[in-house]
Amino acid sequence: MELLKRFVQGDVEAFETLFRRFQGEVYGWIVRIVRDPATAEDLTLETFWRIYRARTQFDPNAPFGAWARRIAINVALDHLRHRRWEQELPDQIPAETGSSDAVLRQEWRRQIADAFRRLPVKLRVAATLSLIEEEPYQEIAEALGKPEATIRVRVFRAIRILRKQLSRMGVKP
Amino acid sequence: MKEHDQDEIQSLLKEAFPRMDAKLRRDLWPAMSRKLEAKEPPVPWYDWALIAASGAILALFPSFVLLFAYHF
Repeated sequence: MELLKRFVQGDVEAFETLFRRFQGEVYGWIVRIVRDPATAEDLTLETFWRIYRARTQFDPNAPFGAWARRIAINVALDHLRHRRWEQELPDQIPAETGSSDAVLRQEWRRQIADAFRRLPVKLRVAATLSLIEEEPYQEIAEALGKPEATIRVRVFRAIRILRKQLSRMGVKP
Repeated sequence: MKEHDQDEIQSLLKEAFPRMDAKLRRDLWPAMSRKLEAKEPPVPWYDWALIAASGAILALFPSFVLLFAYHF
């Protein structure tokens, strides 16, 4: 409690203590959303910079971790809204050699990756955390500051869009 | 939507986008500290101008030191 009060008053040592305690958690959420370690480090710094600037708005009786996580997710979402994933995708999909089934499945992966990056950011983030990172709905809901039902709907909508787009491409999983 | 479809789409997604290693590999505080220092707001020009003017007044009219002392 004393630490949080000192932080709100602008004590840099208190901020350093909080930074060291929460940097791993903040980075973890960001990297799972933006999917690039170097970018995630930059955005972790940006998150804590925003936290430091907004310190007077923080209630020292509230949990710091939840507040930091909310800011981190907003920073990551802002980043995704302003940047495309295209540059990162080709390296992430390993080349397949061998049977025709394997080659076909590689083509499906490519198609789904292409469709996935065209999803609206809100749906993409919910789907990333739920389907790829396998975070529980409740945790995603808390992190995004939305009801659990909203997250379930976003994931469902993401899957429905992906299914339609894949069908249109002639892929029928 | 069939559950099978959802499982298959999830499976393809996980193959296309492997799970991220969410562990931070280095301490970011040194970088944060540099960022804080770099973004410290500079002393505005009018503060420097006020200090210079105060110094000039004191140099020209030493008796004004009492007036300054009263206000501080």
